[in-house]
Order: sequence, then structure tokens, then C-alpha cells
Amino acid sequence: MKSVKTRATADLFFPQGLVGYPAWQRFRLVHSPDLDPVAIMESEEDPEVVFFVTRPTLVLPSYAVTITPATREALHLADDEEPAILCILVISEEPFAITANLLGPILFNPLEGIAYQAVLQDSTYSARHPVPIPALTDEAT
Amino acid sequence: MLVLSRRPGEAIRIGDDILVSVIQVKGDRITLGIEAPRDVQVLRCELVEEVAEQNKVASRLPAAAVESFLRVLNAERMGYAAPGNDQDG
Repeated sequence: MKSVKTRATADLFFPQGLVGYPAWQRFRLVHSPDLDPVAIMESEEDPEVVFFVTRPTLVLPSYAVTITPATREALHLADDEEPAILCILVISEEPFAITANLLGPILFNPLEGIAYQAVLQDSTYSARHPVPIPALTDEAT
Repeated sequence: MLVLSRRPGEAIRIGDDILVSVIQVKGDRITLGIEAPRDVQVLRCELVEEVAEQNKVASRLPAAAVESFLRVLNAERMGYAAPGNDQDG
């Protein structure tokens, strides 16, 4: 996406990769004023692998994830620290639609970058939650 | 794949740390109990497959979809509401 100006990056490391893709472990999280609050997550193993991500609470304000002690430990989070949470977006055409994967959020330690894609099997969140476009241009949050 | 038959009340041990017990069978539904170390994930397959499938689709967005997305975000940001949107902007 050469036409998009970028501003800041962070590195994410998924020790287990993404669900179904264990080889995709290292990603660069790229922010751009043109896209905020949507960001780009680029694979360092395969530069052609790029995801659009955003904060799930923009898509569903009531979105909540219960972090298990095992996940907290895997992310190197202290008992009182919370992970940052992102969800991956899918854009389809014919008709144009945006969905968010709320079933498989990305949890990460914002300081260390250790990340994990959870599968929230105790929830009823959808892997294809419809996203209204105005939710993605809400800069007030 | 190892295929076994079990009755309610019977169990299967996997490795040293995992135990799968058949708790009850009712019609076409089996209730299983699973004991595993807390760092071992135990997940319903169809949910894992759904997430994997969405990862696959999301990583292969056609260029046209990406372009539409950027255009739509930009238009929204500029306040050009698309026909059919009933938000105030």
C-alpha cells in the first residue's frame, strides 16, 4: 500500500503464529493518519501478507474478552496489566461489505509486543461481524 | 487417525497430561470432559476453522477491495455520506 502515508510502527511477535498459520509469527503494526483508527498489520515472513486491523470496541462497544491466567502469562502481563486487543477486518465486494473477526481477536502486550490470536469459544461473537463504515472513522475514541 | 469406541463413564488418556472422558451420550450428542494442562488449548474444531478461514480471506484481499475500502474510508472522513447512509456525519 505505497500510497498510504505511515506514521508509527510497532513489532508484534506471535509465538504460535496466527490461527491456522503457525509460520506467520512476526508482524509490523503500521499506523497511518489516512487510516486511523484502522491500522495495517504486515507479515515480516511474507511481505504480501497484510491485514487491516482495528479496535474491536469500535465495531462493538460492549466487546469484552476474559483473559485466562495462562494467556496473561504467555503475554508476559502482570496481574493488573491488560492486553491491547485488535480484530482483523475482511473487505468484500459485490456487494461492498466490511466484517470484523470478533471470534478470533489479537491480544498483545503493548510494551513487549508478544501477541496471541485467541479463539473465544465461550462467547457468541462472530468471526464475520458486520462493520458499519462510520464506526471506522470515529476519531473521537 | 486412531479410532476408538467408548461408553459413557470410560475415558482416553492422551500423552501424560491429557484425559478425555465420555460423560454421557444422548441421541446424537456426546458430552465429553477434558482434563489438560492449562497451557494446552482445547477448542471446538469448527471455531478454530472459522478463525483460520477468516485469517486466510483477510490476508488475500483483492486489490480492488482494498482500493474500495480506502476510497470509502476517505469519503466517510470527508463527510461524503454514501446514498443509503442515514448518519448525520
